[in-house]
Amino acid sequence: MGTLRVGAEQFRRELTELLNRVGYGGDEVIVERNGRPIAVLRPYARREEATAAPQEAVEQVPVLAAQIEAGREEAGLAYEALARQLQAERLRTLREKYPDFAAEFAPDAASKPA
Amino acid sequence: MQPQNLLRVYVDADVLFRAATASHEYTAALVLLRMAEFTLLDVVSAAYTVEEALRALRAYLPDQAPLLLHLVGRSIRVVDDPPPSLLQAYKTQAHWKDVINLAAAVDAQAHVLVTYNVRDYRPPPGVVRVMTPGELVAASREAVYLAMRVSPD
Repeated sequence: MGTLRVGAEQFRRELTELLNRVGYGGDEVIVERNGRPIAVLRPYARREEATAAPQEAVEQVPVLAAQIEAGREEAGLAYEALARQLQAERLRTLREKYPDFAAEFAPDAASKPA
Repeated sequence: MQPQNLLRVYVDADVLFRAATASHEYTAALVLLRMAEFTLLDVVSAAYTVEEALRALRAYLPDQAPLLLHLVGRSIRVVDDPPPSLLQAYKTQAHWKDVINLAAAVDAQAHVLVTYNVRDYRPPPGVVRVMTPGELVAASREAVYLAMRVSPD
């Protein structure tokens, strides 16, 4: 098992081979564009590693961003839906921590699950 | 210990959420948190705000919840939730669902409240400024330029 760094163009050309190395050989591939890492390809069984090391969290942000973008598209998420989720969480906060305020200004929040 | 001579910025849950799901490293919400990490800002948020962002992440993108916790740990001072009396005091200065943010920002003595939803706030001058992440990043960039540029004369 090892780590390879490849450019985006090489990644495109050699995708099948690289997938084999990752999937069967356990390698990790870092994809770079203009010398900067933009994505990482690792075995599915090791998918949690990107968020496992706190000291590396910020350095991993660009890598994670690519994964998040892919995940967001896959899930079909829209920010409108996320905004609704955040508003639901706000209602829950008010209902649980400020019940009097919720009852006065958001009566629905005081009686219904968010 | 609270940092001195730093702009204190209260961030809403939507800012935390965007930072943890940023599609690139220059997303303004993420830039603000990194500015705090680099000691350029004092970014604060109440416990309820972090909890809201975390719950929303776990509902939609559960794999990213650890990243939010890492960002919070490195960049944010988590402060106490505001007392109920403060919500009553500021209840006319924001939409009811956002009064808690205004109260928390005031309670934390923040200079700026950063949210993507600036339209629902109407605090009078002198309470707290309400800005989007992009507006604060742009203002910071300009402030550094104006403070540090060499005058031609």
